[in-house]
Amino acid sequence: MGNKIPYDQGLIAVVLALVGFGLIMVFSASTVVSGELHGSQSRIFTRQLVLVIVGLLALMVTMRIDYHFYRRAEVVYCTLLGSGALLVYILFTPIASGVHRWIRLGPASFQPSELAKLAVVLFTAFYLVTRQKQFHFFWRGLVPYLIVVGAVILLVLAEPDLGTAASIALSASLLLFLGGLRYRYLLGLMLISLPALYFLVVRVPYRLNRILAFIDPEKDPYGIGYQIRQSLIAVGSGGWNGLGYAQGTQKLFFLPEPHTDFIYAVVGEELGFLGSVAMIVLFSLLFWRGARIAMRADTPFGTYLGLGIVCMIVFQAFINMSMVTSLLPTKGLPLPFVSVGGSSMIITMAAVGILLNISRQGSGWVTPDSQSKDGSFFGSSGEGGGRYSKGV
Amino acid sequence: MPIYQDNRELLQRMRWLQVICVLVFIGLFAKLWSLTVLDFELYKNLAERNRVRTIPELAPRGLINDREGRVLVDNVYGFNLLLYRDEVQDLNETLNFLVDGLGLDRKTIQERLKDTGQYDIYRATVLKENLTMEENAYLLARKAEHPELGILKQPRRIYRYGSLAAHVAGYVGEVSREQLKQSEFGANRAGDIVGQFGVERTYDQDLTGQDGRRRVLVDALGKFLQDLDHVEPVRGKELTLTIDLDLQAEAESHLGEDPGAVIAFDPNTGEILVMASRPAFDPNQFALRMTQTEWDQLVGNPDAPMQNRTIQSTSSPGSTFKIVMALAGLEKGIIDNDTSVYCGGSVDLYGNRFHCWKTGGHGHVTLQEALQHSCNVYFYLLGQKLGVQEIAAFSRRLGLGGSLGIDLLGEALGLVPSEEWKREVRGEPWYAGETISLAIGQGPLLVTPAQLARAVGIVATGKAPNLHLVLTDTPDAPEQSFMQTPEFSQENLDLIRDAMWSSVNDGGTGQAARVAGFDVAGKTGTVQTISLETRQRLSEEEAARFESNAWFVGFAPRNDPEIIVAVMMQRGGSGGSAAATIAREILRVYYEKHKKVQPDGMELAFQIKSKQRM
Repeated sequence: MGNKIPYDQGLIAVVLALVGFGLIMVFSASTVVSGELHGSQSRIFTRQLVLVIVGLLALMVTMRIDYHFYRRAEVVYCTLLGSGALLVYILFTPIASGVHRWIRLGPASFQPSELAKLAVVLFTAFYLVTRQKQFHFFWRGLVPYLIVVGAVILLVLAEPDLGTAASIALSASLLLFLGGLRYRYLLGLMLISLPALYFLVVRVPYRLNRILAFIDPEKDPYGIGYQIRQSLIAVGSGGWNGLGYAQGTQKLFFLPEPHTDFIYAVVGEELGFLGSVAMIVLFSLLFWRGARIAMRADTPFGTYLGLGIVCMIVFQAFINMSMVTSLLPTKGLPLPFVSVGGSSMIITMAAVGILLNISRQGSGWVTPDSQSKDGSFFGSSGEGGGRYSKGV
Repeated sequence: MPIYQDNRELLQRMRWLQVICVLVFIGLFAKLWSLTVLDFELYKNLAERNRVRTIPELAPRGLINDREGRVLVDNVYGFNLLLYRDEVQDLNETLNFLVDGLGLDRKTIQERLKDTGQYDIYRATVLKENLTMEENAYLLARKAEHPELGILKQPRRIYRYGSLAAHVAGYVGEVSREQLKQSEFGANRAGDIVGQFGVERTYDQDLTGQDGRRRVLVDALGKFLQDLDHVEPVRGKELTLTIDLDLQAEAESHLGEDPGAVIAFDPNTGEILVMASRPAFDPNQFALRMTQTEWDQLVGNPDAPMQNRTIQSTSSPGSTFKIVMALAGLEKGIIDNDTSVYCGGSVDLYGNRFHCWKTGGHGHVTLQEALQHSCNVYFYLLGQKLGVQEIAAFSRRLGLGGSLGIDLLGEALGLVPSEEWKREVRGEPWYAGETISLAIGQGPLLVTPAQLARAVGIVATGKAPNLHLVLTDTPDAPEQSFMQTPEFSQENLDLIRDAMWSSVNDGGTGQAARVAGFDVAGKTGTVQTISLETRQRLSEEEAARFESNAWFVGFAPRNDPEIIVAVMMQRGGSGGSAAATIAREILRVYYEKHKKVQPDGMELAFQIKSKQRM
């Protein structure tokens, strides 16, 4: 099985830096909330610490699994069907905090939509390489794909969880774009999603309120504009350097969800402009290392899977940070590696493990060298035998 | 047709993706720059205006009622002065204002601040309870200068009948630092009001409600801006006592200010109807946080008003112990009803002369007569035959010398002497002569009024229910409410019951307890607490303090008893008639309350089982 090369050290370093940064911020952001909710100031932090350890274990497992294994049709469909079944199952579970989002497993709980996100990325990468001939045909290529992915997205929407649904749609679209989907199809997809957005946002009062709050947070500062306003106050009052670690006050009572979706606001308040930019830089570095690994993968499947994972993580981070700074309207979506939340942490870490395994599988089919060969490489070995199918 | 003509397509599109990423990066960067650098002043000001104030809404404790639903312990709302510690600019200035302007005690305030100091700064400290109208007005007028001070309506305990049933109800107080270290108070925080005594303490968890709170946004001057959230306080559970306040009041008024105790209970259920201990304290003093001087006075009182004498004071049972002796003698087969003893006023045993209280002696007496007239000689001889070990064993079977498991803290165990006890504690063998004084309830034997009452209850009914103060939700649970019943012969029990009846109704020592229409049975007892020689050395006032203890234990009606009563008076004089009188008054009130007048006019006192339940 080819020449193994070392795991990508850069990616490991960036991910560890993010996780460490995250734990430090969770410690600061969660103490007061934890004391209020659980009567113990360290409870949430301790839980998160355990989850990080579980996440690292998941990473160490997936990093050792040959990623070519995921290219098997049965693996892809099992993952997809499995997460689909779990999504259907939770619709019949009792409502927790107004939504069907978690499966309770004793003291822990699991969020199937997080798994679905990874499953869709896997399926898209698989579809791109196995159906590449048909893919540019509308009925034979795109429609079956859209039906499958659309069903998953609808199930996530039914929870309801617009944030994760949008995140899935965005990762899938980015991957389709990278996979070479015709621009007119992409344009068409955007057009058909407009009425969907209309029904999902404008017709649902609480989401519409968030849009209105996004447009003008000062209009109802203690009502619909409260959360985003407090978030902006947190980030803005941090200034250049921030108030200092653990010195923030917004997290005490004003900022809702300071340890989960809005932890980036705590970063802004306590570590200021510099700390916030450092966080963006870390995610940018993650994108760079991840894309580099993907582009050097030994098979197109590895490339697409890698790119999908990178987009899934990095763009979710970008969306979250944009929400906190009011570049986008707010909707629930955690900041990967940082926000408190078990399923997100474990799935993200497992995905990084897959990325690391791709980095281990040797030099790639789409290196700058192969570019000079003018595509012959792709044409000859991309379809038939050789390296392309070696992992299958 | 492959999706790519070549991988240039992919590289091309990757470049687009990189452009998107760079754009997002620039967008976030620019937005952050504008928020944190350009608009920093704006948001800094907004952040400073963000002030939240958590206003505690204390939950009222559950009410405590007597068995007929009369509210004994209630709550009233008073205005309390609170210090919002997060708002304090200059603590000294605030303290000066309170001490000079309001006349508060500086040390008390500092003490309270120290207690809450370990908790988060958003927790307000109560500086003074129950502000007067003047204090209220004074503070309101200076509200603007002192945003750190707040006035809040908060509930506090009120004991409607003052000291009545004070030892049962108990009192509440701030949880102490030592208590906070105990697991029992694990959920509490400094400043919390918890039950400290009585059922307030035993049932603290039930009585304690769920505190609520209101969080509001305020501006820098403490002016209300906006409600954030509100958690309603939930009142604690209501408690229904087994106590009957009519009987309780009767008992306490007759005891007066002299130290003494009365306990009465239903022998069929174990429900305590009266638990009176005098002198008593006023629990309201605790609810208002008494000063150090008030506290010193209370604990320094030689008559110990804080002591619940029914379960905490132990003394010799005196002649009432003859009931236990009689049962032991009958059960061991040493005597029967016909066994007759000659009492000549004294008897010589082991080289000592032991006297009967009646100088001339009782002549020939049977067990019935011995109990009825409380003949000492009969029981000296019975004691000699039984021996200390048998006496101790029977005492224990009747519940003496051990905990009764009453739902109050601090039950005294009393003492049942035995050979082992003497060896272990005194390091000496038991002398046979000691058994003789033990036989008439003297010597080292110590019992509480509750223990003695329960022993009488066993003799009166053959049943041994757990004595308790709170009516349970499920009244029909006899298995749980009964302790293991000691098996005694019904015939023997009847014999003693009849003798006790004669003591009251047939010219015996207990005549003072007689209630017309109600078949009262009972036994008196008197204990000299000091010897005659000592008495002569004391002044009259001192001697009064050490006067003899008077006992009366009894039950009614003779057949199928409904109420057991024990009265102990520490300065009751001799002969037990003072104690018997109090018992009579309680039994009379009980009888008046429960007698039924049938259509034909016949009084029926005995068919009142469980009717008094609400």
